Amino acid sequence: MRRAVRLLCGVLFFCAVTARGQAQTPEELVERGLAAFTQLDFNAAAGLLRSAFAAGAAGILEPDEHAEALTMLGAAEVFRGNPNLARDAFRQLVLAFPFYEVDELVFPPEVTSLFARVKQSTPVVRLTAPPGEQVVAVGQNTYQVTVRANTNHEILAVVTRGDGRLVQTLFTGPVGDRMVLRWDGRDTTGALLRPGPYTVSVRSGLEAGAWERVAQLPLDVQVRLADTIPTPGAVPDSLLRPEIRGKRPAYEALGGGVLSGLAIVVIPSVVASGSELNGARFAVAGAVGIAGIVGYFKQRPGTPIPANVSYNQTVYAAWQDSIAVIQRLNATRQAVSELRIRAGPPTFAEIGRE
Amino acid sequence: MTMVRWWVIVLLLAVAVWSPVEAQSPSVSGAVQASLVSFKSTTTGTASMSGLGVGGFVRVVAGLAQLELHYEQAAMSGTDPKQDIVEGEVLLGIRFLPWLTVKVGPRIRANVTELGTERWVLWQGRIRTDTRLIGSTVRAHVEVWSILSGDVNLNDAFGQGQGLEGGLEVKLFGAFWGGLGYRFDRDVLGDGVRTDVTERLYLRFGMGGF
Repeated sequence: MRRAVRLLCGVLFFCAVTARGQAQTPEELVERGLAAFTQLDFNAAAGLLRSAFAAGAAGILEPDEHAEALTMLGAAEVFRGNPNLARDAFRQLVLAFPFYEVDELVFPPEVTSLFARVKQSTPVVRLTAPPGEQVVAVGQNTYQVTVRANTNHEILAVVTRGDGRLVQTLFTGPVGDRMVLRWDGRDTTGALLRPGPYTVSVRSGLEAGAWERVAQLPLDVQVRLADTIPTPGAVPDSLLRPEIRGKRPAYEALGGGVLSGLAIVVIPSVVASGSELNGARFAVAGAVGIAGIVGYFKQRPGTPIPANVSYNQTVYAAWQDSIAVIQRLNATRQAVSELRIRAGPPTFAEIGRE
Repeated sequence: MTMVRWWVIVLLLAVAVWSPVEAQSPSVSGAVQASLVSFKSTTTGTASMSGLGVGGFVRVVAGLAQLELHYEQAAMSGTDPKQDIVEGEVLLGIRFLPWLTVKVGPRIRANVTELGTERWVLWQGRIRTDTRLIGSTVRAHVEVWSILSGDVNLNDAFGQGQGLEGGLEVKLFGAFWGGLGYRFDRDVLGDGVRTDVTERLYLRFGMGGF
């Protein structure tokens, strides 16, 4: 019976210990792993830290604790003689904290040199946007995004629309410590943008012709176009003169000339019947009548009116000139249009794991 | 005279009503003219006088209203004693339509001889039509009139009178124009005691108003 009681107590103790271990939080696992590392128990340290990250420590820890834990994990693997596992830990460290440096006063050269090699082979960039809303006067200033790189490497920086279509390539080439990308608010054709979501994407880690990573900065772009003058339509008819003669001038000339001539001849004869009148009236009546007939033929219906054609051409030319002036004015006004750009939180992803 | 007074009143009222205020800035035109004048009177039988007349006119247009002043004098030959004919007219008109103008006013004719001067004061009512023949470069006009009343310093009272003027005008250069025309006046004393017929073939050289 006593043996049975002892066995039961032993089982209960084991269960309690096991249950306690399963209930440990990632922070506690990290704490214990770091403690094991300082006691040079690298096997325990590596196991505890790996368990901590498997339990989601990366999303819980403060950045300093996160970086320190990954450093300890990498160093523990170095000391355990597992360089591949150490490289993997340091790679995680570089991706999460690209500008982190392993303290050479704390860690021996085999650790720091391995970290340096991993960092060198894991190029990463981070993007920084100006805070708040930025106003870009098109043609006068640019929107600037700072690119910071952890190592010297090739990048490709582009602006894309919300649907992923390319708007403009900002930069392609090597980047050192940092550089500033400048965007003038136009697309590749020089046209102004429509308002909407855009993204600045910087690809890095060119490996065998493929990019390994991308840092992105979402932008909300609002466009305020300067007021423009509406372009006039066609020339109004009221400004034009008829280019083809109508019937009226011709018939007016013929009728007016002939009737006037007849009046000059007939009226004196009727009024002064019996008087002997001279022939002067016939000469004048003939001149008036002939002028009327000439007027009819010179103004025949359907014939062009050169003076009006010329006048209308002048009107058309002036109209075209005014349109050109308005277009130039509008182009000048559009050139001072404003973009209001607000950046969202930058993101970073490995291509294929986005 | 009563009829003339009514004509003048009606015309002045028409001028006042029809002429918009903003169109009242006056424009002035005028011409000089030379005429071949032929004068026949039953007092001289069938013999006629002829001569060369010179004169001119000035026309002031304000909106639809216009005022004309005419003057001409001619030295006639063909009778004994010699005679000069001097004529002057003042006409007040209104353009009712672009091609139709109505005028009224006195015409004063003086037949001057060594023996004395005949004075004819004749009140006329006129209607004038204008026609464009070739664009804005050649135009024709015909003006007819009737004498509404008259006063003559002769033994017989004025009887009746009619007249006509017609011709064409050609734009020459700038504001200048030339004209060729014919004018006919018939003035009768009493019931036909005496009839004077004056004909003119004239050439004008004018400026403005085309």
